[in-house]
Amino acid sequence: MNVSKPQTIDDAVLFLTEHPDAKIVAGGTDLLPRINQKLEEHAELCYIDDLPEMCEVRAEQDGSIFVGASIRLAEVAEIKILTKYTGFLQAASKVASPQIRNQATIGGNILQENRCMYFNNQVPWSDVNHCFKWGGKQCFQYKNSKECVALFQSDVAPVLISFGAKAVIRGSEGIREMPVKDLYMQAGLKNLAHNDILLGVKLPPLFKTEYSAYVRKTIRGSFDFPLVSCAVRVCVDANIIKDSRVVFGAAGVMPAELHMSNEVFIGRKIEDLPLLADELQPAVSKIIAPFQDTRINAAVRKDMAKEIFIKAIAQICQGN
Amino acid sequence: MDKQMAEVKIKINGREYRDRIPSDMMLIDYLRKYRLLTGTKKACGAGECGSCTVLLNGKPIYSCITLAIQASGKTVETIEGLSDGDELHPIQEAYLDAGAVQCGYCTPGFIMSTKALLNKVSHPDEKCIKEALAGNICRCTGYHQIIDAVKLASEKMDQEADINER
Ligand SMILES: Cc1cc2nc3c(=O)[nH]c(=O)nc-3n(C[C@H](O)[C@H](O)[C@H](O)COP(=O)(O)OP(=O)(O)OC[C@H]3O[C@@H](n4cnc5c(N)ncnc54)[C@H](O)[C@@H]3O)c2cc1C
Ligand code: FES
Ligand code: FES
Repeated sequence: MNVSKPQTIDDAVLFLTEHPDAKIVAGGTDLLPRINQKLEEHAELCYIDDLPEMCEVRAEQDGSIFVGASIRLAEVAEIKILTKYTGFLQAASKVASPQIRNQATIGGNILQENRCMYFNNQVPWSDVNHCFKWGGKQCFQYKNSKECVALFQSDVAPVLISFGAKAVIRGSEGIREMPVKDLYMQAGLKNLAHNDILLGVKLPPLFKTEYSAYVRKTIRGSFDFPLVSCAVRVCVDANIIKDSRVVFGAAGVMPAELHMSNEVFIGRKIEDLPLLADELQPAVSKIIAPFQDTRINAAVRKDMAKEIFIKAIAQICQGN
Repeated sequence: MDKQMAEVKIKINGREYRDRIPSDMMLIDYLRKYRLLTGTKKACGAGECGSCTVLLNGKPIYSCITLAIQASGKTVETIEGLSDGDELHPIQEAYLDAGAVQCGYCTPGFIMSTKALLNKVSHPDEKCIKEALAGNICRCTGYHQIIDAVKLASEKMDQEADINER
């Protein structure tokens, strides 16, 4: 495997354009373990770091905040203008372990691969029974599935979606933006061209009064992927809920949004939130994919999702 | 395809090294094979255990999932940088005194995480210690002795600072 390090963003886009097999590596904490374990192979890597466009955090004229893709997860807590994006800080602080958070980038986190025990447990030298992700013709999670259903376990993506954040992308045609939620496609694919580089994410300005929370369920207290997670954001004016967003992580091939939350929450008093959240429990259960891994089965994952949704709502009410 | 080489310039334990290495070499392999710093241990090779922890620009990272070129232009501290000749660093002494070493395979990693913590917070409470060591796994000691070792190390470093001030 060869690793190249382009010195400018233009060079990086050009390099990727000329090397259709090259894979981007940023912090490497998602990609390199899979390469070391021979779960993935690449002839070429394009190492992206220290590019000024991707290391910045800045307030834009319209009040939104641009956070460069190369910002390390451990740095998020130290950035003053992000203090009030509570859910974002909580999510970044909970990923894996201190060592990983020192190395891992925001960009790599929201573009990380989907995971599945059937993929991780396959051996490359076996030529029988490969799953879709290994280039085979079947999915061991759902026997009838026509594509891979591996779980997307990013902690940061659900909160960014709850804030309505945009992804800022540099491609061969220049810079464009799209909602972070639109990055995710079926079968764990990302809505990016091979030579697209995520420059950063843009968080919209905060509402006058708003609360956010991120809660995740894990087996171990730390150093663990979320079994399921929940990001909640509620905007309030004079005690009345004006807007809300509820997004679940580790909920399927992509983050799952509980669209019904606004129907139930908007126009109601913030004090009523716990009661209103109870009403939404059956809907929560429905949007969590019945995915099984070595640790929990489908039914437990759904129950846990309801539990953490209620916890996140409780945190919002405490913050109020 | 020919193996691509890369120049790295890394300051390790206070000394600068320049080497021409395969561009895909992991930092741990560079440290062990090129710099013969075999104190840093590889166990899982997948970012799951912490035994390969070194400090990159003062912050703990896993050298098994870091490319050597990711460390180029930066400073690296390894376990070898702690002792002064035969004289152990207070953190190393504390690990021995507290019985925090059994097979010892995880120890260099734990000690580097401890070093990063004590550089930042000189008197960490138990919660803070647990958070700082959450990315290191030990299969022998049961962790209590390790937490004791960090507290003891913090005291020993205080005493040393006192002596130096006098
Ligand atoms: C033991 C362990 C535990 C973990 N636990 C968690 C956890 O609890 N929660 C969690 O969310 N993650 C977890 N992870 C996954 C991973 O560490 C994080 O998601 C991390 O944030 C990835 O960032 P990175 O910069 O290291 O990514 P990289 O490995 O560098 O990249 C990840 C992917 O994104 C692509 N990419 C990166 N940057 C860009 C860019 N700017 N433009 C376009 N493509 C890009 C790469 O091509 C690659 O496919 C864990 C990993 C390990 C090894
Ligand atoms: S060997 Fe690096 S984390 Fe286990
Ligand atoms: S002392 Fe043996 S693994 Fe920690």
